[in-house]
Amino acid sequence: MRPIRSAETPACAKTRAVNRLPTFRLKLKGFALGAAMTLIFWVMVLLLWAAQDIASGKPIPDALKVLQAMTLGLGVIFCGALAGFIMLARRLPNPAMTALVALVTTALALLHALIDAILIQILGPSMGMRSMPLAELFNRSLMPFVLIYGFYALALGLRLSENAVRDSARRLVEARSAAQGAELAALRFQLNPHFLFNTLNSISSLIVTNASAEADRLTMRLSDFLRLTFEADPEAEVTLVEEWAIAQAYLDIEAARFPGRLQVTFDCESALLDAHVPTFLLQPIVENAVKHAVQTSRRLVTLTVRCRQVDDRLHLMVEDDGGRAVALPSEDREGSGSGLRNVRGRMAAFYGDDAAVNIRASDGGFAVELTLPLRRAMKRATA
Amino acid sequence: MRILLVDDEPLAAARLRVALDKMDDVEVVGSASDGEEAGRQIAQLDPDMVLLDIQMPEVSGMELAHRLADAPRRPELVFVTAFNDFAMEAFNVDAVDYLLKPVSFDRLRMAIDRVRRRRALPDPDAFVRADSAGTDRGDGDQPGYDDGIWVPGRGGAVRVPIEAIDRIEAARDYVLLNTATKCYILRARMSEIEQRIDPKIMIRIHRSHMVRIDSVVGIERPGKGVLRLLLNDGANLQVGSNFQSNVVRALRL
Repeated sequence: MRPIRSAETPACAKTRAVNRLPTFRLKLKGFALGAAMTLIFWVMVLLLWAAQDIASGKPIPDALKVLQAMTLGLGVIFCGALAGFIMLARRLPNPAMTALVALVTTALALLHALIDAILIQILGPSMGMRSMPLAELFNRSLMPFVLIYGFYALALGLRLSENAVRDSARRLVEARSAAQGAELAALRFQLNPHFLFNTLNSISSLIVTNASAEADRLTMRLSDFLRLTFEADPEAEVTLVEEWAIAQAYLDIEAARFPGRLQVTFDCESALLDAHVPTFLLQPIVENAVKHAVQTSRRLVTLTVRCRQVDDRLHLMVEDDGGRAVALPSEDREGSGSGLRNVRGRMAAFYGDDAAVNIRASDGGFAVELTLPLRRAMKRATA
Repeated sequence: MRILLVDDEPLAAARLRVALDKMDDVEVVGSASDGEEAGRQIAQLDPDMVLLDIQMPEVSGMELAHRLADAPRRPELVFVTAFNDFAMEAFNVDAVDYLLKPVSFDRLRMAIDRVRRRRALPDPDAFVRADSAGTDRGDGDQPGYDDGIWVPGRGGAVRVPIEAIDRIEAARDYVLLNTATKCYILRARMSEIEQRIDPKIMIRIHRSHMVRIDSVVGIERPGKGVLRLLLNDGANLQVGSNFQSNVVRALRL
């Protein structure tokens, strides 16, 4: 199992390296967007402020233009600082963060109001304003600036929390698909330890009893099975004939372990051999049949795998005549291994509602019927 | 030693037969391929020991062991199975040993010797009780360390004295206490057991092994930095690299 894992690592590393650049670009884009929005915000504020002067139709004094420009520049800089601060403060625990952001917002508003008051005191007379004490000027600017900065902080906070929600939703989806990938990968490693050690035991037996040709044949079949199992991509589809090769290697080994107890029939029109099925679709079902029908029975059990085309659908049937040697209700047989649950899960993952799994248990034996969309390798190549 | 061989896979049975045929003091008196047949053979042949597979048609090895539990006279049971998921249950039905397929012939020999020593005793479990009664008095000498370990079993518990344990083996969520006559199973962690035992008597040599210092009969150094211990029961255990200095000190190598 180790080689597979090590083979996957470089692939992962590659994906990560490729991902890094777009993230950086995304951040840059976010920054530019934020700066533009802040600029627009302040232009709107100033337009509102100067609305009366503009509406009056009188020429706007140069001093007012300077004042406006100063307010705009300072506003954008202060808001930039505030945004940066909020971005940093996001990492703090919530009550502390809120208090700190409120404090910094108010402080910035007060500072801007003070600077504004000083500017007005200096530039006021040239705009035809009567001179006022600084305290009164500050008092008059205070409220608008607190409101402006408060509004800005609020809008930014909303925007960021919306991003955070979207991020966490995206992460959830990613985690879910990663979990599903891991589940599928685990399926590939779901080598039954009993099967593996029993097979090694059989091979060892053939060696110590000097049946070397048989030992060799069984070793080859085990290699076939392991190789096909390790090489297959659990998230991909294979042709039915490829899927059957895995099951066949497995069943050959089990037939050697249980001589006179297992007979296999594969009944499939050759036209259906290149139909697409998910990897390891049949394997859990035939393993189940061996576990519950062959291992529990002293007589010969016939395992039949049938494929049929019905309209545009592929019907796969795995049936045994093992009877119910052990009184196991169908639910038990279904629940006893994760095998059939796996089959249902994979059918749903690949085809959604477009597939069906039917399980029938009777006195004669156990049957699993799979119905899935029929897609052939040839058809797909020409499409 | 008269042995009954029980396995539903002919190849598995054949392999054990080859191993047993090489041993002079052992006779395979019969074989069976399921629990039902094995039960009949045991009644008929009265073997000393049964090598018992677990997964078999209809009556499994485990079911047979449960059925035999109440019999007044029964052979010693040694389970032979492919994987260790039944170990806990196996020892709860008083199996003497639990072997994993493919069983090494040395390990099989060890199990047979264990059964032989057990058979030689008038009451195989009595030494445990008698010894533990004796060692209870010595509790005052070694405060902080246990003289024996209580092992729950069928219908109660037995106290296995530390000096009867040759080695302790960790597996999954339990430990195996290997004595000359039986293997006892206990749901415990190796680290817990280690704390309860006097390091002058038993030492940890590996993440999953503790050995009684007296039961070490030889050492091997097959390569640089590799140390292996040979025990009186034939076990050959590798010393973990973290435990080497400890082992060297305890054994005064």
